[in-house]
Amino acid sequence: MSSYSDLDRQIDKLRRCELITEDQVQQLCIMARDILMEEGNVHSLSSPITICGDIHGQFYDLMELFEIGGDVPHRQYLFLGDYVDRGFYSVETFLLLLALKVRFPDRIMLIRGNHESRQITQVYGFYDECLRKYGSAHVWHLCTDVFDYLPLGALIDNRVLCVHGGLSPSLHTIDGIRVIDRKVEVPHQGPMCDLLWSDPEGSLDHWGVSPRGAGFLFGSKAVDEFTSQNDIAMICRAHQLVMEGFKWHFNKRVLTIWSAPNYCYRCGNVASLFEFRGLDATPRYQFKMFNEAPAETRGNPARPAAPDYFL
Amino acid sequence: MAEDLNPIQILIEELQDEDLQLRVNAIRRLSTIALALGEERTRNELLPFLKDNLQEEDEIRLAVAEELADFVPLVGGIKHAHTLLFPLQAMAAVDEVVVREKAVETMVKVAEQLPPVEIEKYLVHTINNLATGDFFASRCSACGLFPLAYRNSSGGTKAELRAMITKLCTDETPMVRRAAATHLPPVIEASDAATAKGELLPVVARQLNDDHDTVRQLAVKGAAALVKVVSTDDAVAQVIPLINDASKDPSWKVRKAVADIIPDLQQSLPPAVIKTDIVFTLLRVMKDQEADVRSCAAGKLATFGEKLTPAERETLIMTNLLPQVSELCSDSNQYVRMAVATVLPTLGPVLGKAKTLEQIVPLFIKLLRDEFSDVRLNVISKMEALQKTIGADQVANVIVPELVAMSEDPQWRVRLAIIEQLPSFARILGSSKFDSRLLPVCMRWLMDSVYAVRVAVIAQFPALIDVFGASWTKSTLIPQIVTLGSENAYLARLTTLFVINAIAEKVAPEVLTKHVLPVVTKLAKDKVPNVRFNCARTLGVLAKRVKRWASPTVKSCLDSLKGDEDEDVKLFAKESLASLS
Repeated sequence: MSSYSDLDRQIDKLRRCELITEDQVQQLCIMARDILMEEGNVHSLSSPITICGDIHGQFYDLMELFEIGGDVPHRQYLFLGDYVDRGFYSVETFLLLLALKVRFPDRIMLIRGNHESRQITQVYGFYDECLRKYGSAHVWHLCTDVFDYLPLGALIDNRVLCVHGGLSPSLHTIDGIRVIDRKVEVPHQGPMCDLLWSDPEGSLDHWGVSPRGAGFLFGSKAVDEFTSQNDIAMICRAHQLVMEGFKWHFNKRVLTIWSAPNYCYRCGNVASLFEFRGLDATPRYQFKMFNEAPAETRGNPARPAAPDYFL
Repeated sequence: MAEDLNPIQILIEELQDEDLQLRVNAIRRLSTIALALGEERTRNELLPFLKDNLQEEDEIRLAVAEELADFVPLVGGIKHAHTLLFPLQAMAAVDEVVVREKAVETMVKVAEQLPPVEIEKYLVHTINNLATGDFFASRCSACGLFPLAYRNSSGGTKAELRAMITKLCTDETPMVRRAAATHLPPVIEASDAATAKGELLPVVARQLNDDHDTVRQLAVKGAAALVKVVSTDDAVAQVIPLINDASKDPSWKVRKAVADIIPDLQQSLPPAVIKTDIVFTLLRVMKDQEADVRSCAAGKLATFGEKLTPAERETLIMTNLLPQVSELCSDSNQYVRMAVATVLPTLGPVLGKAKTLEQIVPLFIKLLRDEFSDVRLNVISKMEALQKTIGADQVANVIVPELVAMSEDPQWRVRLAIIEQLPSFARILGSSKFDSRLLPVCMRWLMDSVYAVRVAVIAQFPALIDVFGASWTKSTLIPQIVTLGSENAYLARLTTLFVINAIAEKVAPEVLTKHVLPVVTKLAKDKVPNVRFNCARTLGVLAKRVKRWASPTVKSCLDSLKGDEDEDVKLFAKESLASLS
């Protein structure tokens, strides 16, 4: 119980968008790793559950998300990755989600997105933010080590597959995902890379080259084959900005969900949550839309200083 | 050996370090050095050193100016405090505005502690030095010292100081004129009526014709200060015409300044003048072409005419202002409507029930239906004053239907604002009207799609129980909650537990035992773990409140939850069990 009271204090602190100490980050990451290590590549979950897409360090919008969707632990959450980079508060965002994960391992699931990688975070802001906020790269090293342990996907009620990006031409079964050795930096190619990088493409039947330079574009037949072979009803993924917060593809068998309102503080999009309630004859679900947190609920408008390399 | 170390030498060495931060840190330890030197050497050695050897860096100067604020005891108390003014005076003349302002701030802090005679002697001297400086920066700094010096000076020195600030008011540099205009109002307020009228009124009049709108804007405050000091006749004859001219100034900032001083004018002037003059000034700014001026003017309505009798206020508002208020309610600018939304309900008590119903309520409803959500939010959060004026029946017939329509407002923060008003509605309406009109809406909010809305309405239930009492709770609220708990939706089950948690303290033990506990024990077998662990938490709360004969039920239910397959259910069950013993 005493270990929880420390953790609860850290969670309260992080909820106020304040940093915890480097030592606390270290302990938190060790505990998180122990928990994540036990979870399979494809974690099994059951409905009712709220599924969220990309967050990208938009801390106050994550708070808005919890206002709309309900608080941990009362609601069950699945986050589809891309917690860090681009927003102003990647550190606080990821550490809060991680602390909630450690406090309530069965109530909140975090899977890996393409930004949960050493290479990408050095380019899109998380590395610089750690450096700026903690004065060294130590916290970045700790967090990126945790990234390697995040599951690659989740399976809800055995019928809904959730991944960050999409399908891979080299994976035909969910068991195929289960046997990947995931505890590595995201590779540049291969099945693990594809799960985190691929996008659906309506004009294709099977597979196409992705303009992102990693992963593939997958078409309707590829979805047909995968869903029938694995007896799943739908695939839920994130990874792509959709202005309306969510988007169905391929006759409602693939869903893109996006949870960063006014992405990068400039895109003007709405965000959404996908509340999945179960699967009877047809899926039961509800989308909840939300906008960015109003200015008065945000803390001081911490515009980050330009990184040193600009000087 | 230690005695040979000269503390100033240490400071000098540290101040030669290459790292700016280290030099600033050295200054931060200035008080320690002063303490080591003793009072006399601080005065005779440290202060002259600081005055003459300050390096070029503004950071260092800023730090020194800050540190000196606490130096009065270190130089030997009040008796010697004036010695601090000299190094500060040097810093008040530098280019960098942050340093200057800090130096002036510290000078004021130090001088405030001096007896009036010394203020007159030393501070006036300092002002004189700064005000006659060649560089505009020192003349700007001089302005900041006038209010304190003037208040504490005798007649002759006062005249001298007025002559100086009058000169600064016509300085060739706009920055100086602006600084002078900023600090002139307190000087005016500390003058007698004759001096203010004879000497200072012409100064303000000239400022109001300055080329720079920022000077004119500040001069409006000077005019307000004049109104406070001079006789009513002089104010009406000479100052109010100036203010009215300013309300037609080409710059909207000046016109907004006029709107800003309206409450001051009301305080200073007798009712007769408010009725004949000030109301038209207010009307003019309410009609201004610039939205910022209009919204500022609208905000002043709330306290307008506080000094008038209710009857006078009523006629004034009805005949003069209301047509314009109604214009502002349909203003094209949303910020104007937001401003008028916060004051409109407060007009109710002034006008009385009949006129409010006839004139204010239609405008109020118009704002409730505004397309801009912040307007709706503002008008809702101020509605209590209006409710009291028009009474329960009218609230139920006129306002409640609007609110019921708004209970599904697409903006969840608007729904939240309505919910926060629930207890005040409950008090006004009484239980029978509340039950038939608003309780169904509350129950709908319990199933709102936004969590924050559900939590907010749950948080209001204890207050509602306080208003309506135990028998309402038992016969009206609890049956609704029991029904909610038997619904199929996961959300309903979870919300039921949240409600029970929130109200358990307020519900009689026999009601909890007979009606509420069975709901919870049933939900303890729910298939969703989130529901089960909330049961475990709720049982912990109920355990202390239910009748003794039901304790075994609570305990056995918690015991079975303790053996649950879900970790969190086990955890919360254990926590609740631990709190039992």
